[in-house]
Amino acid sequence: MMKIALVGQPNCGKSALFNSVAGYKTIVSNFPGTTVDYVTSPVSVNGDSFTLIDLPGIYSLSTSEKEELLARRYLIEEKPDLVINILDASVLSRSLELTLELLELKIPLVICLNMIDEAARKGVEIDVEHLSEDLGVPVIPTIAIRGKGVPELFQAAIDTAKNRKTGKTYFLSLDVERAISELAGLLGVDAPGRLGVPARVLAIKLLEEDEEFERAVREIKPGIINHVVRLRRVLSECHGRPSDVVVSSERHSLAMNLFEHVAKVKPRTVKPFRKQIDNYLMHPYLGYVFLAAILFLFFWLVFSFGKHIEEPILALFEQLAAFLGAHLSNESLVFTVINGLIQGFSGGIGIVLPYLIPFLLGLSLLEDIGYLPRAAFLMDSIMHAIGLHGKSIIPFVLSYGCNVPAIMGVRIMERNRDRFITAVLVTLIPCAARTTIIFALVAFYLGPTRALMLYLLNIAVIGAAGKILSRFLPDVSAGMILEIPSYKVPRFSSVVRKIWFRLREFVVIAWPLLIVGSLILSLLEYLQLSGLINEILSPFTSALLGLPPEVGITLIFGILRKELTIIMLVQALGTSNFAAVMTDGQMMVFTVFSLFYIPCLATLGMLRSIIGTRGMLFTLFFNTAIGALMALAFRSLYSFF
Amino acid sequence: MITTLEKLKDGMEAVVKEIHGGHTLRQRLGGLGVHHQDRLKVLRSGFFGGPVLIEIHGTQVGIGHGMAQKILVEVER
Repeated sequence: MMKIALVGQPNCGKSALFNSVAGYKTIVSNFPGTTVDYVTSPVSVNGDSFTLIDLPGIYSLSTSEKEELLARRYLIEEKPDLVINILDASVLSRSLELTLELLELKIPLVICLNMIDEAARKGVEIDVEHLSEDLGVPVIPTIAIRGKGVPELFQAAIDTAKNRKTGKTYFLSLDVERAISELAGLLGVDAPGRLGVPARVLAIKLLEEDEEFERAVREIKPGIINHVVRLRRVLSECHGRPSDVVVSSERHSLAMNLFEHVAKVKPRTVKPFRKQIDNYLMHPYLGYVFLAAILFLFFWLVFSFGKHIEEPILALFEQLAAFLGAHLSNESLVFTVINGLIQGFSGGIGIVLPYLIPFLLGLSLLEDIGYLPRAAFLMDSIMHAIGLHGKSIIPFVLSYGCNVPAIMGVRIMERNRDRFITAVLVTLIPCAARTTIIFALVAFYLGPTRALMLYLLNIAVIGAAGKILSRFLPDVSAGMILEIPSYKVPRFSSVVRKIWFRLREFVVIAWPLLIVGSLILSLLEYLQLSGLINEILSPFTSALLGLPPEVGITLIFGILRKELTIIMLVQALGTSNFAAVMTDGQMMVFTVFSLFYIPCLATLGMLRSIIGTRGMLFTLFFNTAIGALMALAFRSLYSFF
Repeated sequence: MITTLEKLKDGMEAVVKEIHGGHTLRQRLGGLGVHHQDRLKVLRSGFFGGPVLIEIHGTQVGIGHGMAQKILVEVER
């Protein structure tokens, strides 16, 4: 089937375009050997079917960013039949730089001039025909989020893919062209052929000091590197600037000239309302007040809403279990299995309906409005202290409610490294369920001050863990450079689609784990294996941590769902008056260990899908090690008093 | 007057003169439309080690404090 790839800079409306035509058969795939994903969907327009590929957003093909390199590699190696280059018409001059690079690849190309309404609002008027003539490829103006111009765009795409029309080649200034053609001549046909790019592109990228191409050429044709170095020196000596700057500046001025050729900008005297909002939301002091208020409101709305819904739902399932218990023998295997299934199923509903949907709604709204990059800007210097980026504040805050949506939320970060560190740290935050353990044991028996201290300790541990992780995974990016897009009115359909996609992920990945886990625990109970498990765990629980051996099974239940820890503790110890059977120290040690050790199954499932199996296993061991160390520290601390 | 980007005050306009700090930084800035000789306007200055918010070619870009220190600009009178 024909392959059509969507390529554009971040925030150009690429996903909106994809979503407006993609069907329910949409598949999220990972680039081989990575957790960076791209989305594909079969699409059919006027009887022609093709596969549409939504690649990660890229600013430029000259890059050292991993995600951008993967998108570039896809274009070069997979050779789509056509590329639709989506441009944000309101920032045309900058967007055209990527277009010029795409033209050089000689893949059939169609330009989607998106957000044409936004450009008009900014006073930018674009002569579409003129632009199409200048580039030598079809240019279709669209407002993808409303579906305007989308049928015309895909018709043009199919036509162009069939006649395999590629656009014009732009020439840089004479001395640069001389260097390019000399290098292209030296490269011959073999190296470009094996790398899958035109010789001209390879020559330009080598002059631009592209690391990936340089490495490849060094292997295929090592003799040429001397020439590359010589020509780079010639360029940089003539222009007094490094050769990569020479080439990129030329492309930049070409794009500026093109822009001036096809666009008229009417000066605007009135400051638009959407910009004035930033006087408050991005204010050096007030900005933080608004940020705190927005995050608090978000958190509060999600979890107060969730609680009201969760309780009746869970009560309903309990009635169902009670009903079944009355009709089937309480002790029978059938009841055990069914009860396990119901527990797992209701556990899923108890997360999805009350918490996940409102959370995803809120996150999608903040994302579509354009507030997330602003929050990231404000929090940047603070999050830098633990080696992270401002955007990670959102998953951190939400994690106090539930780790699962928080881990889904790490997707808002572009870099894998940031996603990994944030995902690991987020699992250390006490979610609502772990909060019940802190409250039931520490706050109730040892006093609220100790509970508060635990929260502060938790933050300190997360900070330290962040420091450690970023020591092993240093931030190779040069720091934050972040586009702050203008505010947009969110579209209902886009928000619903986003919620649906992420929800589907939970249903497919985490829910089955919950059900299987519940089933296993039911069987453990049925087969009365808790004694055996307690015995197996006792070297750890009683010998090392000094806890009553009966708590072993509660920790296993805690892996399934943290809410079960306290319920199981009552069952295991035979009383809800914990102080009667546990010392202060034991309660503290148990709480501290429960706070940090293995995240719940649903969280593990989500982790695996986002940071990979190895990342998940790492988190499992890392968190358990932190839990054990902290618990030991508290055990020795309490032994002094 | 030539200075570095993080020293500019709110509302000041300047022209990019040089970007120190290597290939990667230049590429990243170039992708977002920040090049040699481009005009920019500071919307929010990078006080207390915070990032700088600039407007360039009609878009807003946030630049971390450390990176802003590597961008040499000439302030326009």
